[in-house]
Amino acid sequence: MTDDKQAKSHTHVETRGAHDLGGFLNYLLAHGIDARISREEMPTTPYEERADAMLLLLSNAGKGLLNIHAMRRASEKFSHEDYLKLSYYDRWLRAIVALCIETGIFSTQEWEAKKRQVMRRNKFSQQRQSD
Amino acid sequence: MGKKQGFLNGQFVRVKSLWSAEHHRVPHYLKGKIGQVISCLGHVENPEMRAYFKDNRDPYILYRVRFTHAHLWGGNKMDEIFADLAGKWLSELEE
Repeated sequence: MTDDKQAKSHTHVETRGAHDLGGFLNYLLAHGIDARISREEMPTTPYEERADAMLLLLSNAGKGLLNIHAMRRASEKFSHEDYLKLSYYDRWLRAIVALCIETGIFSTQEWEAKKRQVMRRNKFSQQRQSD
Repeated sequence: MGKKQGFLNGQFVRVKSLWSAEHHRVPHYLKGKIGQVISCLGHVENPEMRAYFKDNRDPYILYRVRFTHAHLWGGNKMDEIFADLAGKWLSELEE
């Protein structure tokens, strides 16, 4: 079945979650998404390990506040562009934040305030390094 | 969706063509398609409930179902796709 034919039946590709675009290769390519699977082993970065640790602490192995199914649900809500362009662990982090706000672990205001604080701190340390 | 989830190995089934905005684990490209049950994987945690932090009450039994590329994409007849799908998302094939 062609992409067009499948899109016409039931829901259109634009209205579906970015997690469920299997088979819509032309749509992905049109949005600049490289759908090929990279078989290269990538090195782990410290931020990825921290994201992983954070999720473990929040999920059933730790505090039991989040679970993998809720994480998937939260990522499915991202726009196609965000979902497809974000890296795997960036998607995780964004889902963790969305669920923490949803479940009241912290508020949107607290999250924004913390973000500003960290950004100021980073800017300050960058300035000091360049001085 | 019906409560009956008993499918036999080798049985042909059709994936239900339901269009839910709620979290579920059935890809679009399999909905309405016919596959063959390969094995029953038993009860698992219900992701449709857990995704909303709800408890797992409905039976949620996974089946491994085989589909051919030819049927899904019109590709060659040799390649196959295996998907683990919940019994509640499968229906018996109409005669």
